[in-house]
Amino acid sequence: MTLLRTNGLSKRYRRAPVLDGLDLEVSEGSVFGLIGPNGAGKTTTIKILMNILRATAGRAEVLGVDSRQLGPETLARIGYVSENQELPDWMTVKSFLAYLKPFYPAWDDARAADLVRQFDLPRDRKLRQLSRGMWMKAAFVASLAYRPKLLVLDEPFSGLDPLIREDLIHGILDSAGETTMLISSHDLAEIESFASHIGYLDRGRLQFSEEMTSLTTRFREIELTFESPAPLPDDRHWPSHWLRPEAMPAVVRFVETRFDPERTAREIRNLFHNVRHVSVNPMPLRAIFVTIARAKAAAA
Amino acid sequence: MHQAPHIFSKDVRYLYREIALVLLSAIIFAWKNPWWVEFLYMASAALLIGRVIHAETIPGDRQFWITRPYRWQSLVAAKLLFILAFVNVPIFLDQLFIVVRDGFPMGSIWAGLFWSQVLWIFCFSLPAAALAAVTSGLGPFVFASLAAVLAALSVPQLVLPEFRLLPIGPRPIMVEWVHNSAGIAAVVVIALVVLRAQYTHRRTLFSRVFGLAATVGGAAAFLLVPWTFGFGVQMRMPHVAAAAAPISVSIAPSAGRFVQQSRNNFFPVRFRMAIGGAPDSLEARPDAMQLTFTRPNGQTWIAEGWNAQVRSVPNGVSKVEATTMMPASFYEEARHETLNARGFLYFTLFESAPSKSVALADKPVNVGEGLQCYRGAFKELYCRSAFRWPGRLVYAKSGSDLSSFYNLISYSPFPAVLDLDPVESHWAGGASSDRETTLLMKKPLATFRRDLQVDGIRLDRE
Repeated sequence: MTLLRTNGLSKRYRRAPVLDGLDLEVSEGSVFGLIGPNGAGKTTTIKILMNILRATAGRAEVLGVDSRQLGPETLARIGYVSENQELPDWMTVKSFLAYLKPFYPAWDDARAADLVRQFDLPRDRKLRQLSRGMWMKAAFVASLAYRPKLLVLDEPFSGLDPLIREDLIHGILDSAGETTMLISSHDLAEIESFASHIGYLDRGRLQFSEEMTSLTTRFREIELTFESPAPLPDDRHWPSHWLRPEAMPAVVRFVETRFDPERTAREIRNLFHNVRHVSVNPMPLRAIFVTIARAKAAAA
Repeated sequence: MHQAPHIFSKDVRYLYREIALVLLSAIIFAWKNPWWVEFLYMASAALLIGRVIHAETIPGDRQFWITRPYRWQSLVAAKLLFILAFVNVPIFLDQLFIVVRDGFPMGSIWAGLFWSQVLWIFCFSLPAAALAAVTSGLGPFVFASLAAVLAALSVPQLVLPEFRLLPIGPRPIMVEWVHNSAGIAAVVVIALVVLRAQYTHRRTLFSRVFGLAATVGGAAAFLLVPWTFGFGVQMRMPHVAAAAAPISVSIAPSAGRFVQQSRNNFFPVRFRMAIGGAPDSLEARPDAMQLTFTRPNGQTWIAEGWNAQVRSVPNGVSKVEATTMMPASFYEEARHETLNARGFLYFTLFESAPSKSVALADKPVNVGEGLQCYRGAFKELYCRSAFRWPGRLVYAKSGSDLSSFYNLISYSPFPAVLDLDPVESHWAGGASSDRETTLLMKKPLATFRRDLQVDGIRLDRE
């Protein structure tokens, strides 16, 4: 079941396009990581989904409801945390949670207490007196205590120290399964540790969207070692799905973006004849992201 | 869960200092009313309205509440409840306290007290809330509020300079209520449209553009609509139509100026008029007049601002002296010529009422129609009323001295005007109060118009 869907979503600020016909789907139970360079449109996408901004064109649905029509009933099943959100900083952690509780029929006091304990939050301290990490933890508790069906996180780890990130990820993982999540982040290493799906957004367009396992399976860094120095084949013969080719006297490296052991081996054999050794290495998400970003930049 | 009381109680906890400031201002106002407290009271109340609306700021994309399950109806209800409780109820209690303390009869104050609260909600609370709803913080709200107040105070002076020149300007006070009521209705409609657009869809750009355009357009209409519009409405009010049928108006063709030097390049020019044919026991009083003077060479000048005084009412004929300020340039060229004039006069018939003799004291005495009169420190006569001056033509007669409060009368059917201080006091010039004073209060019956035509006018003869 799809909990979140956009069709042809576009957004312009004055004349500058930020989103350009975005089609995105997030299935129930998934943890969807929305990645992309600065200005790619991640935050704009999330704000349109949450009915904070209005799209210039296209349509967005959240929990089966047009995002422009998100009402209290739907919002009671959605958690939203953003790095630049404003909270009522005159409230203490305790009074903030107590204030929010009546808005949510599914509010779980025990869960809230567990999270406060787990995050080691000072209940009687005002939000304005909290450090950035603690402030973000309070925002998380306020969005997880009612066991939302959908949790939307906009750059939740930005500017946080590793310990705080670790705590937050534990909190998120505790909710995984019962809560579908959409997370936008630059922190690819953290996303990689728990995202089940990845969408790559660049210049307002979704470049790809697929399961994490599929992505990490199809991207491989391949290193070919030759008997003697071998030049790179002519561009016309170089497969378009092999990115970032590098040639050294007796070594050629590239990134295979559609890795399949048999097909990739066959294509290598067709292009090179004196390969002494083939090294195939899985790639971390960060390396995949950099590869795609550089390929796009080069193509542009 | 009822969200409104929940949000309301949160706002009370959040804004207890601002609430305390408003309540303190209210107490000082009711207790002593020093000159500065009205400003403090209004400023703190406006600040409180801005702060409570901004507790859930509408413009912007970073507020926590917009992704929380708020019901917009509950949010609006909570904010309005808060404003009523901590802005309008203190004003209500202040005004009630003052009129009761001042001894106004209870039966005469309720309608005014109620209508005064309606005006405060319409003219202060709702516009302030709408302004706060389209601003993103206290700074922009204060700036926009000051700009609005300054514009409201200064633009009429710039657009209608005759307001400053003439005793009775283009907006005669007796029908100013028509223009003001239309203006208040426009303000309420604009505020409600903006609040609805903001709280249902957070359409800030639309609200700002609509609010600004409608306010500018409404203000332009308010300023540019001719003063005759007010009389047009006034004449449609229920009245005794037959009473005016035989009434005629005449103007003596000779006029004169009564000063030798121009004042600000204007000469005061006086005409004598007679309004006759009023039924017995009725008195006709001129309200406003427009005359277009035409020179033999075709040059014209329109006189709209007149100061008209009834000098005597012998045999049912009101003898009136009407003075206008004629531009020196026109006067100097036309003074030895024969002029013609066309125009019209609005006047009102008043019914006589039994006179009431009261022995005035230093403390105010209730003299009926919600009016209290008393003797001032120099034995001059003062009268005061609650929420508005009575809709009556009030005369005070002391010995042979007769004084009227004619220039204060408004034909408004509404029982209050917008003023924080519910007591309106005036001094009756010309009437001393060292003797027993007779008060006459005449009720306006109907307002009429007569077209005027005067030929052969000479400005150099009176």
